[in-house]
Amino acid sequence: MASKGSGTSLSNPVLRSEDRRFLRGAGRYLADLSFPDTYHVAFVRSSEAHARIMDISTEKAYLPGVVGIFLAADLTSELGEVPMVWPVPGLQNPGHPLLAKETVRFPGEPIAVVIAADEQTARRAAKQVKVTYHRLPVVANLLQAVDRQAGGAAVHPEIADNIAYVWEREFGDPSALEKADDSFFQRLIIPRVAPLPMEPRGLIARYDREADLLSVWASSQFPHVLRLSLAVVLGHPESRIAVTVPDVGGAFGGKMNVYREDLLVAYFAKRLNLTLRYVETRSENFMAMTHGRDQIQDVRVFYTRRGRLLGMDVTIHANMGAYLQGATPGIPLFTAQMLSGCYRIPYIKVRVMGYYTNQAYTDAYRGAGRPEATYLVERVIEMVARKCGRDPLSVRLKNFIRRTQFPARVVTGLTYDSGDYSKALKKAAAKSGIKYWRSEQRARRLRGDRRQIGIGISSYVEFCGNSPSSAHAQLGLKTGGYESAVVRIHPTGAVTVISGSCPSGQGHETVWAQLVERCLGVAQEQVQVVTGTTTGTPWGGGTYGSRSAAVGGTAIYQACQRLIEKGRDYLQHLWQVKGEAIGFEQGVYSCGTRRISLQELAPRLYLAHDLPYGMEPGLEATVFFEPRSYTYPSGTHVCIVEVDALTGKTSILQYVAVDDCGHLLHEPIAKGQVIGGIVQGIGAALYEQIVQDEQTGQLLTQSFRSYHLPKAEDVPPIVTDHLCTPSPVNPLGVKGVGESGTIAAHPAVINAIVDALSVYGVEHVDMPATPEKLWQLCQMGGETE
Amino acid sequence: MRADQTLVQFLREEKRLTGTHIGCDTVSCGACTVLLNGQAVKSCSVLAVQCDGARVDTVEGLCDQELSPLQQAFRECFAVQCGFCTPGFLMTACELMRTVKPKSRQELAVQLAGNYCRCTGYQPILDAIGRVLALPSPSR
Repeated sequence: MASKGSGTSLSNPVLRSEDRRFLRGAGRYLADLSFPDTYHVAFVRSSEAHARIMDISTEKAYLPGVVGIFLAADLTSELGEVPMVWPVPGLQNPGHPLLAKETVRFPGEPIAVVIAADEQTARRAAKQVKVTYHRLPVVANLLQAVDRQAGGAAVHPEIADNIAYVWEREFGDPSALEKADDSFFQRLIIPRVAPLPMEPRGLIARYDREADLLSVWASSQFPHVLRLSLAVVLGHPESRIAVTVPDVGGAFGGKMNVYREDLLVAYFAKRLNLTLRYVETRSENFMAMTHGRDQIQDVRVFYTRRGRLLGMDVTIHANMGAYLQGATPGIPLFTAQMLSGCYRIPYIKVRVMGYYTNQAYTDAYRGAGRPEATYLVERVIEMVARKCGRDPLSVRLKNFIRRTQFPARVVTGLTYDSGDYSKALKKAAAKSGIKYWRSEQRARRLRGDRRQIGIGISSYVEFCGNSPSSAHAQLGLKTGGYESAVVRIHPTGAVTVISGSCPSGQGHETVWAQLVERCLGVAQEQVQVVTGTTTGTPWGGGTYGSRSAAVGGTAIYQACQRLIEKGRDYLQHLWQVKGEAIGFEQGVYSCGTRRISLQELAPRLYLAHDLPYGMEPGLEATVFFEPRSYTYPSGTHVCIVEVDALTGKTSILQYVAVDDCGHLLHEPIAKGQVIGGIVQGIGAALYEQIVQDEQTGQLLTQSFRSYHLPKAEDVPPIVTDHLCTPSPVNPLGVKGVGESGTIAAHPAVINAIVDALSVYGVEHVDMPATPEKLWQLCQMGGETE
Repeated sequence: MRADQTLVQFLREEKRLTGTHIGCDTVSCGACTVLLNGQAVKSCSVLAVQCDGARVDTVEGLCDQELSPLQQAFRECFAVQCGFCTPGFLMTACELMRTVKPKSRQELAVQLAGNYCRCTGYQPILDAIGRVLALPSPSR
């Protein structure tokens, strides 16, 4: 399967069918949809991070064209709250109202809904709503919450210490630590960043009172989850809600949530019997889309002088924000379960502490908890190497899970499916010419060059194929992890494939059509791919967690296999031969000299004149594929940087990525995911950070002017290569590739920078490694020398 | 036409040319780039009334049936993922190909500073435009 067959390789790739419309400007994104008699929604948002609402005056806001202005008090009491599906044991959940009532708790929190005949009027009117605040003390960031610097400020009065929950586990045998020669402590700070898909969020809702049908169009990663949420929160029959997701202009986890705005727009569309449209501005996107990461990791590391990592005692302080979105509390648990990284670590003790702050909610952002784990483990292994005076490559090799040990159970309880960590490391090291860079580094150090070279290594493993539902149960996540597919061969032989995965730029249309072609021998051009709709489709989980190929792809594969088997059963009867005597290759059944294609069988199965007794007519299959385990992509990235000690500026000279994501369904698309992911990781490592003023809590980064998104000139040449240890947990042998680049990149870059600045006595630098920060470290190092 | 209507609003709302996208509100992202009298501009930063009598080219006008060589290069280099930023890059590239003609990949990258992409990591976009400009490809 997989990388065999035509059109999958780099030399002769199948081009993306989606691109024909995207390149002509004919993509249809949410904001491109138009309906007659549409009214527009704008939100009045809090200008304060934490304040009591003293008064709301709407008097001057009723501009011509304004239909209504609604406050929390105007919402019906039956209306639910924003859904949260991860009730970690012991969680203090303050609830998540749709509009702020008495108190606002983060900058941008919605206070009122304004509905007007056109967008400009709605926005202008929203600005005319005057809110009088009484400012309250703020918890402006995670550090203030952890260190109780906030002067007793409580985000929610009933949670005085701002602690959402404490989750503790002790994995493995503490006696392993007795062999340790030494230990050290390190604090690692992983800043808050924003997903920032180029298309902001949006939603259109219309209500047909006669049919009691609520139709919703949304820029979302999971239409079925949105429908379910609307049904529960609005109390509307799920069967009478139709959600459609048009082309989605990027998501990265930010559209893997159901937001207040979504629920309110749908609610008012029904209540007022109007077609309502809301498209957020970029500033609103900065304020009110989920943010990612935001952890402070306190780590004690136990190791031997020979570079063996024996144990870690980890406290993860995780920022929830002011309220909980769908999966907010659980993301740091993903970090906890990946703390063994690529290594055999006998003992890991972990404590996760969630905190409320006067900031927007966090949730999944590309990697969702795994980048944080990889960052921790790869910084730690690097520090162990440095403290032992050993080569970081050899220390990794010494601690790696070996190829022969798969399936490998790590101390945190996960069983890694397959991998060859040493091979990936050696390949990456060779490809990046580490020996050359080491000699260049020595030369520059000797001559005291202002531009120092650093070599950063990052060996990662992550889990994809989200997910076995039982794994959700273990972590307290109240969702299933399976995915659905329908493969339907029509009477003419044309094929429709319906997938519960929902693309946001990954190329599903192309890859699913290609997968069906390879399974059924039907030309891709005859395969129609349907995603992003709840109408006439089985429940779909959506696209997140690099799950489409491993879970959604397997569902399609299995549905195809069922159709092949059905055709064989029918031919058994027709040809009066045993099933095993009938071969199937490239869409054609054969037995001796007899041949017939599956497509040719289709009309006969719909005609149903000569079916064997008990066989159902038609030719379609529905599969819900439940994976029995996660998949575990892995690899090694090597980053070479040059840091200018006089300016603090980092230049990435070279970046090599060797990844093992099992079989590839489409090599150039997989490569694109890796490179795009790496650049998001580089962005976080060097530039990106959501910042609020420490005193007032004001959001200082609410546009592309104040938040540095990587630009074309920031991007180094990235060289990719891969190796393949097929996953044994699905028949395609695929693992997943959407997040691995991001997961690997943060420590690759930071390890390189620390390596470069080790001549200045630098042992660690937190992300983002801005020129100012690095310049200061060089200055201080220079003084102490 | 409203006096305060921007060119991008005019194109999208009045002309229903929705290939020109809006990705920010600070004239940063370049998703709304069009050619105004042959020059690449961010159409969110120009009032529609200022364009009276001017020639405006949008992504919809780049080809009839067959994709143009630039569009084809984007497709073959897998320079499109979600596609939202793509029209802006295409329009900027059109101007670069005609006027600036960057001589190196680095120069091209600098010229693209006004167009953001969050999916591709820019590398395939540089490949695609570089191919049309016949720039030497980087060693991989």
